[in-house]
Amino acid sequence: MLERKGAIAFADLSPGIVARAKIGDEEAFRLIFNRYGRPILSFINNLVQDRDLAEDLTQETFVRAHRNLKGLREDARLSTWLFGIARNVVYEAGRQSRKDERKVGLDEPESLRLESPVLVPDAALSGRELNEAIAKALALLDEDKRTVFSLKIFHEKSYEEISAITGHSIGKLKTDLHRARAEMRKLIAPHLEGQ
Amino acid sequence: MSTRNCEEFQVRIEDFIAGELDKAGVASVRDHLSACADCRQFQALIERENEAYSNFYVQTSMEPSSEVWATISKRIGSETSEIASSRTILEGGEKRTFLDWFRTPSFVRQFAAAAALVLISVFLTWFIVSRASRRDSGAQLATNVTPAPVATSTPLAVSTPKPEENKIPAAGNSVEKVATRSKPMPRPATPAAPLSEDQQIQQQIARTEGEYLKAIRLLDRAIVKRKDTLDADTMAQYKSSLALIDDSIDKSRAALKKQPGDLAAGQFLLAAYARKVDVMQEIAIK
Repeated sequence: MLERKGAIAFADLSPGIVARAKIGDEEAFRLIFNRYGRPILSFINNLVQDRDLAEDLTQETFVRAHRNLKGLREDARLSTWLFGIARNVVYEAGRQSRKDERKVGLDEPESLRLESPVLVPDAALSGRELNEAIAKALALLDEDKRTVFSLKIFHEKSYEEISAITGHSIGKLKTDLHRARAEMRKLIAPHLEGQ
Repeated sequence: MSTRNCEEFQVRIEDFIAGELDKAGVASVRDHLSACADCRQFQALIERENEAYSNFYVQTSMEPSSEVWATISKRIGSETSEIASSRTILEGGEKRTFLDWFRTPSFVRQFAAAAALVLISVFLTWFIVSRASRRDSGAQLATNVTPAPVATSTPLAVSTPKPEENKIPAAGNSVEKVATRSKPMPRPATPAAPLSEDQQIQQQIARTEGEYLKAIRLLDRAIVKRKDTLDADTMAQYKSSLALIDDSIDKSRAALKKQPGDLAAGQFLLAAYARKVDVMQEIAIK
């Protein structure tokens, strides 16, 4: 499961790394980036679904983190703190381009819309196709649902952590996640059955 | 099981799988699952979905390209140097930055802020007391319009009990520099060497001390004007309190002179000044 894979992929930071980074040790900050760069980039990419934009916003996230690192009171909450910054960075970027149509899902065919979730595959779909279906379904979730879904399902954050990241109540998070799952299910179920 | 009951359990089954339920919640979901085939099917569906999502994450999560760190590193470097240069201020011919202020120990910052507030409060006290005294004394006070300098003519020896303190304005030590800071100082022709961290802290302590000394001088004038209205017991207690405080000030100052980087001595010194201002203010408005 994710937890096991996550544990293999991301070793914990050595004690003292955050303290070193706080006093301006760039190498220590680089270790933080090495540890969290991938999950943060993936989280941002889940939200914006644009690799180049996700990389730009990841840069912005870590620059802001560096700027405000001294304000981090509990080093143990570094991960939650970084995800919170990333979420804000994404939302700010979204607000800036609010007048434009949503980048995510814009060019999706009508068949991907929730009201017409006809993604019926042939008898057998490859894992790649299932992944594509998941990506497209994710793109159709609204911002709040996509955020809680990504944090809970992909990044295995607890509701408390997600609440700290988003500022939303745990009740809202649970409702959003349940609805997100249901919406995702409608779109990926046919592909899942074909697996 | 009823459909409604199952709908309620579906959310809990998701939490059950995610490990978000407490013991009672886990037991309740297990009981329900053991009795409900539909919910067991739902549980199996959620687990399959989770596996698909897990595979999706593993296969699609991306390692940041090398350019990402390169850009972050560059931006961090330029921000650090920008902060250092753009926030530089010239103060008394010496370059100091806002960051230097934040690098000073928190107690110095707190005392400095307190001293600034105290000075305002003391000025108001002095102003009110002076007006009241003028009203009370009328023409008699008119001959004494210009307050006498604290160090030389105050009849209240207790408010300036130590010869050292009286000499402050003329002694040429660090406190004197602070006290006379409002006078325009000739700017040195060549830029001064950057101050060490210890020197910056000492300088900040000296400035804060200067603020307290200004407050003390104002209070002293106010107390001089109303000393006749204070009873003997109050004055005796006041003198004895000030003597103790002045003793603390002398000792802390001596310790600082011996070891200029001694932060504890700096803290004691500023705390003693704060206490002295408190005591004097209490008497001035009694």
